Amino acid sequence: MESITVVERKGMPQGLTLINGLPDVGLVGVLAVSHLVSSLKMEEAGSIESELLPPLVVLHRGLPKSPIRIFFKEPLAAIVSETAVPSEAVYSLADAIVKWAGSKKAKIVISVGGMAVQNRQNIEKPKVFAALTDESLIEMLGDSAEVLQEGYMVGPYALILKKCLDSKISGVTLLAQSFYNYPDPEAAAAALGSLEKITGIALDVSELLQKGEEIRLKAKDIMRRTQEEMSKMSKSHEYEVPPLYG
Amino acid sequence: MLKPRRRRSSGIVNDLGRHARKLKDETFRSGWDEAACSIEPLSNIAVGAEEITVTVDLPLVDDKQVRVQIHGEDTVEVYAKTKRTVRFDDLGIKHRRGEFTCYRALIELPEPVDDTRVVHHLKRGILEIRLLKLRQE
Repeated sequence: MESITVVERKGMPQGLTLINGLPDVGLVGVLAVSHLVSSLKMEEAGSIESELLPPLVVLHRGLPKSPIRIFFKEPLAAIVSETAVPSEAVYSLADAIVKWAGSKKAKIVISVGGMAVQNRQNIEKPKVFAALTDESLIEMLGDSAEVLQEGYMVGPYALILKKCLDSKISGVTLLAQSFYNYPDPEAAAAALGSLEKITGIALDVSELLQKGEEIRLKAKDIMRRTQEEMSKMSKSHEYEVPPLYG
Repeated sequence: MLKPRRRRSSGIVNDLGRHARKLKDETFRSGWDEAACSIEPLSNIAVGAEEITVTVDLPLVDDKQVRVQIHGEDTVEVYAKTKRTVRFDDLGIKHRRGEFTCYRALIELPEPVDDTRVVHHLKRGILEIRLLKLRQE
């Protein structure tokens, strides 16, 4: 597996809760976790570097930044990507994230994403579903999300969940009903509602909803690139029904 | 047996337009057309048995500002004025100048449609266009 390095620029303690916000369906994870980072004023604490990622930096306040960065505020660490993750990098990225979570003895790894539904326009309040590494997490989940019983997951979150299972790290993937290839701040707000219940950390999503139209416009280009990568990963598999009984 | 469809001159013009757009798309992928003050929106096509459904993401647009036209049976043009002028500055981009007042998209359809039966509506900022497929005899 080609290498991906997690660079820690500021020390982060063990036993943290790791939240992932990677570009996926409706950019739900990126929008939700970016909002989490800014509303909790989390500090930039590291980045993820690899030659498998596009040769780019993101400029913020005149300074070059890695497009995939780690933010921290006790007890949370959050990984957010400002670029579409190339399909060729997905395995290595998932591996690096879970290994890093293991090295930090992460209490739990929570990935935030979207679940595309065809009638999204008619859904007032998106429902949130959860995929879990083990049944013991159902109690912790409470009424924050409905457990996904059957189906396929495709992409980085699928691999992160599986690798968490293999590494005996508790893992949850929260998937809010969303548009497939349109940025969906309402779905991001719904996912954050579930995250709030799970972590007990209060989150105000009003700005995310009020500025929804501007956010959608601003996220247009990364959504377009993410859609290209999702096609390469056969993301449409998620609409299909698995043939075997569990 | 299906007869081959005779190509209209508009179809050839559409092909040339398509080729030009492809070249442009490959150069400037972002879809922010500074010269035309227009934004190319995200769009999607779903093909059903009888219908083709096109959706277009149009944040900052009112229903009354949307115009949909069919060109040559297989291209949909969407034009929509934004509620307000959008500047790069509003999006936090300081090193580029440009303002945008509308969305414009030319969307190629996989099959010809009946240009007299077009239904569209805007909901949650997403334009949905339903187009009836042309039956071939």
